[in-house]
Amino acid sequence: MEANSTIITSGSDIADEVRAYIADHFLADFGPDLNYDTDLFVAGVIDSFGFAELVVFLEKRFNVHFEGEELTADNLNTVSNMVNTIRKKLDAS
Amino acid sequence: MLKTDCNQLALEVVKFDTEHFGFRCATVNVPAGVVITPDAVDELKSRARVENIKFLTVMSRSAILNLEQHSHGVLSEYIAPFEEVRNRASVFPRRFHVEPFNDNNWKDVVQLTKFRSSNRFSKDSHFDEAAVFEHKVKLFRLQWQRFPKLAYLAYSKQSEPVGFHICVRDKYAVNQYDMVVRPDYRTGTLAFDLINAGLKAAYHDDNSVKLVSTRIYDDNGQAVRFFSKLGLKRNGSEFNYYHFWF
Repeated sequence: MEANSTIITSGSDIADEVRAYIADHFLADFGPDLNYDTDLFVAGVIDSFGFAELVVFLEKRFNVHFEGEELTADNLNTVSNMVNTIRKKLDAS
Repeated sequence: MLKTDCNQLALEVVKFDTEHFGFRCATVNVPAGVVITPDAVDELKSRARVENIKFLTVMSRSAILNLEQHSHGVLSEYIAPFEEVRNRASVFPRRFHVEPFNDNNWKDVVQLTKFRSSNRFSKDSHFDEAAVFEHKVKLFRLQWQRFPKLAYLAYSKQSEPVGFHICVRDKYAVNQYDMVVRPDYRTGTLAFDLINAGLKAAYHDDNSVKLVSTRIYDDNGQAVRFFSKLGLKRNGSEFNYYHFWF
């Protein structure tokens, strides 16, 4: 089964996938200093290009679309905020 | 490197004229390869006083050693091939409503300019913030009058201005002159939209464009990282800015 055909059932599934992508793509080491509530911009994990790549990944993987207004740091700066934003979109669809 | 007789250096006199501030000021652009000393700076200051200058800027590629006053910032030039920047910037799909700037939108630019990063003027305690913003908008207006097709504004769905971008051109290069993005939209995605709009317009205006350039203060790490990822590299041409008040 292709990765992007997996059925997402819960917020923790989303969190796990986002975490795996961030860890793999940005060489981030999640632990006590970097958790799901860490601001990834402030921590230096992602920058402008990383954010753009992350958004492209999230849209493809979870089959969602972000409007420009949603691409603010408040919505997508932490793993928790990403999960909440994606969860709301999936629930609304 | 050459030392020079500072009498050979031209004082370019202009008037800094805003609602808040108005005074005669002058700029000295020290040629590449020329080193000036604190004594030479004193001579320049004497000449400026004679001409009733209130504010003197010395732009020198080399730092002026043994000067009591520190530089107000180092501005470096970054360049990259046009195609490379265009390819890299196009990686992200367009998401914002970006429209060409027109003369009715100045209020939106003024609103946005309040969010701009600090520069050598805002770091100078002699300037108040309002004067710096006003001066910046004045510079935008001057550049927009020269290149009216190369300025863009981005709006949110609520029709609030969230970003402004202006380019200037010479024969082969399009210079990313300035960009202002509202803080809550500084994730990069809006900047891509604005840069893409500017590059597209520059190419449409004259497809002989070969380079993209910009100037960035060395302490603006966010801008250095952003433009470096777009492929721009520091080309070694840089200025140390010194301010002298009388």
